[in-house]
Amino acid sequence: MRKLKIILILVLVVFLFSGCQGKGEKDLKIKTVEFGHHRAVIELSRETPISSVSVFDQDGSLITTVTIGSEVSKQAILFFDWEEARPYLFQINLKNGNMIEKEVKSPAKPTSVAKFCIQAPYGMRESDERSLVAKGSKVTATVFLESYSGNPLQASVKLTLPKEFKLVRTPSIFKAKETREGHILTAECKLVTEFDNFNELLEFEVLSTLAEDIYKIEGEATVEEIINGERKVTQFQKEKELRVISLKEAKNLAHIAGIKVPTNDEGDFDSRKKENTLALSVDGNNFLKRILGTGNKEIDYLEHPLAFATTTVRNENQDNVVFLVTSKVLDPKTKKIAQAFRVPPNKSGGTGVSYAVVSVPGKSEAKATLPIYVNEAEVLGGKYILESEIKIFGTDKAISKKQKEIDVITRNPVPGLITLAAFLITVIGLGYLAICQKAFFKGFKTKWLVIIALFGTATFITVNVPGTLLWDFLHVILGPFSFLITGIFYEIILYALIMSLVVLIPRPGVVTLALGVSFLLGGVVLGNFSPVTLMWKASLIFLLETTLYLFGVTRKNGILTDIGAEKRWRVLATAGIACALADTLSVYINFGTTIFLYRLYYATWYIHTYAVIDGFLYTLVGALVGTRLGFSLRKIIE
Amino acid sequence: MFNTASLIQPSIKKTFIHRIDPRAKITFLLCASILAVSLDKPKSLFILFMVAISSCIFAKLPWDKVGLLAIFVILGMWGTMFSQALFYAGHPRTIIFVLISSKTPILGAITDGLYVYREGFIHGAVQALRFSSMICLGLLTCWTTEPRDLLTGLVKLKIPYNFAFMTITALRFIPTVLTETKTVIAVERLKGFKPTKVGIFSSLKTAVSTLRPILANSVRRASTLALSIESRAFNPTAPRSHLRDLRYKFSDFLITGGAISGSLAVATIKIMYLLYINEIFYSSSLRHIYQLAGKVL
Repeated sequence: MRKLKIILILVLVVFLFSGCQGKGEKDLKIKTVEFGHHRAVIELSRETPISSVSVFDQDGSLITTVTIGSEVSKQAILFFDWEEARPYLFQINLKNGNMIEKEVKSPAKPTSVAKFCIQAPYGMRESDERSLVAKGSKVTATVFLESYSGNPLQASVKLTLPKEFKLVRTPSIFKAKETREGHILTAECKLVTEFDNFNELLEFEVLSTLAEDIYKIEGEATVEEIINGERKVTQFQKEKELRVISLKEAKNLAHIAGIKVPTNDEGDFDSRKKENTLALSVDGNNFLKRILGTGNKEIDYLEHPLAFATTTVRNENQDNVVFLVTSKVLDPKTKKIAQAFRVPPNKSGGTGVSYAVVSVPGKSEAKATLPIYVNEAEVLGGKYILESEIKIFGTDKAISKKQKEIDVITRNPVPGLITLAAFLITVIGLGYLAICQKAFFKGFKTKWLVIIALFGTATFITVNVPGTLLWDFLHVILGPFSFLITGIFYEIILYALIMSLVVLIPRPGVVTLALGVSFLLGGVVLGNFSPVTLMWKASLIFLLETTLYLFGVTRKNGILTDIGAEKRWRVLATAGIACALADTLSVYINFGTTIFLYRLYYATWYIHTYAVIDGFLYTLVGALVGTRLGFSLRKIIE
Repeated sequence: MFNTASLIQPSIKKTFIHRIDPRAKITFLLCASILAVSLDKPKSLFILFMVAISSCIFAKLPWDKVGLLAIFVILGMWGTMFSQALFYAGHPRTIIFVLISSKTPILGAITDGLYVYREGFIHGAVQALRFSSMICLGLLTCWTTEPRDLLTGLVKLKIPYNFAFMTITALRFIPTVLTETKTVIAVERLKGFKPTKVGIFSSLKTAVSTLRPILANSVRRASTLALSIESRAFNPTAPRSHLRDLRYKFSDFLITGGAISGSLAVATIKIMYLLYINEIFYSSSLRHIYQLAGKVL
């Protein structure tokens, strides 16, 4: 029945925690909805596994729905015939069962047969007439023509680039010719269906010897459409200006005004969090998952950024400029990307860094919020450098770079919990002794108290003094492995004394008195009054008293009453294992409190080795020796 | 090299430190230990260490004790630096020496390599300031106070009298048991025991043969002593009087009050800060406190 209750409580706890919404889910929302020809492009505030996307009209009737599966994406497209100036409700169902929605009013319908645009550099807004380029940069430009007609379109595209630019990469579809006006690039194409498009990237270099001036890129597209046997020709013309400036001037015109970390995905700094500090996520939910073995750090790393860093870009120029903002976490020693902070291979095109394109209007600022991914299985707590860099989008020269030192805090709750447990044991134990001291000392004869006190003297002389003197010297030579030698005093001799005393006076409380006197002597004579020693001693007393009682060593009518020769081995084995188990656990408590309170590092293998050799083996040997010694001392008392 | 008597016997003088009430000393020691585990910044830990060292200077400790203290502090510091150089798990860390390569058969697989990290030495040195401060203040308390006065102080601080009685008894017999131990070891030597021979079995054999006569004597002595105590109508629960009663002076109140309020304030601020950086509790009104904890403490 009791077991059933525990199982029910556990199930309830798991159920409650599993139902909790993840920390990041609260911030997830539909950022924008862009209406195109017979479609709407929905953009989310961040990438997430999407299950399906639906759109409803103002009456709540479903217009269309698309089942995506469980693809991790930031964008979803819905194809439907929308009407002008009508409210539509967009609904996104996530893989985890949650749902987000947004109501958006549709704009006026586009009327053109096609859309033609040039982005030079790539990424600039359609409305931007002019952009900046630093001398010596390689610029990527794009030519885009998209059909909005249901009829096949025959199209020709012509692009004129200034002759001062050097073509680096031209798609094979273009025919290039050099004239007095500049580089002429022409291409023919057929756009067969609606939304069929011509989209080509080309690369040119703005030579460093070029004069600082404004250069024009002209584009022309001619589209032929046959409607009811009639040929209809539509012409599009675009002109973009490139203002070529020196790199020095570019650096003055735009810079990184600041980096804030950690922020939410909209770039807002949460004042509840410490600035420039990344605390690794060990929240209750994750902790429970880990205990239950259902958490997967690898999946967490691949799917969820730990935090976001927001870079503010300041554009001092008059015109709008599109920037590529990159953000990476570097190792302060090597200045290379810290391995644990590499962006997962399935993100950011496998570049290992986070990036975003941000368009900054003239004389203003804009924020780029980039995710920081952390592989928690690999990361070490400590100092790192967060580096943000901006380039004019489509060019390869960084014009501003800023670094910020960040602290990564690893949150391992185990040492803290161990310390809390040890603290509670100490407080309860001291409280019990203070309140119930009469009851505690009631059964102890004066002779026993004196024996325990004299054993305390022996412990002090044979354990504390040589241990204290040897510990420091051996630590110099053997470092953390000095326990192999000092364990002879702190474990073998100590347990030999404790167990011989327990065999002489087999009752609960003897260990408490013996170790209590030893602690007070250490405090009065050697000044060992530290709370860590007190907590460790209190925990050891609690564990020893418990195991010795449970194993029947200190129990009334336990194994130490009426010992015949045939029972001796049983007593030896039982006492030895009881002490060894208690001390092994106390080793973990000691390490937990030391790690938490003294901020020291210890390798897991070292702690286990210490626990096995010092905690278990040495204690077992000490307890066996002590029990035998106790048998021979009994004869003196008898 | 070490003189055990120098380690355990106080040196009583008439300095300000010596005159402080044992209760104030114990309270100060406990408060200092709270500070030692609460503080984080190297500067603040160094200040605590300097307070401990200056107290030792003010106490005008004899040279043998100063030497002993220096050895404890230096060796203890080195020990922590050594262990942290091996186990440092912070970032960045620079390997300066390879003890066990991760490719070494068996040991390499178990330890994933054992390296000496430069940053570990520094981290160890900073963290060792905690122990060093406590060692200095702990030994200073013991070396400037009669053990009986310390125990009277502890009894006045409400530790059960039986504990104090047992500790006094234990303390009283330290010289006797120490002499006995020396005699037993001398006898063991005559029987061929080599104290420099290190090994589990030889150490065990020696330990048992040394402990048996010491403990047997203790058991015999306990019977006589208990009889003697009981014949004087000893009652551990009866109200106690002391040969030399302790009196709290104004300076003791100042020390106790300052130590308690200072350590509690630091501990509270650090707990608040800990809750803040672990994203458990935040209050905008505590922003200055967070700043103080993050930058100074």
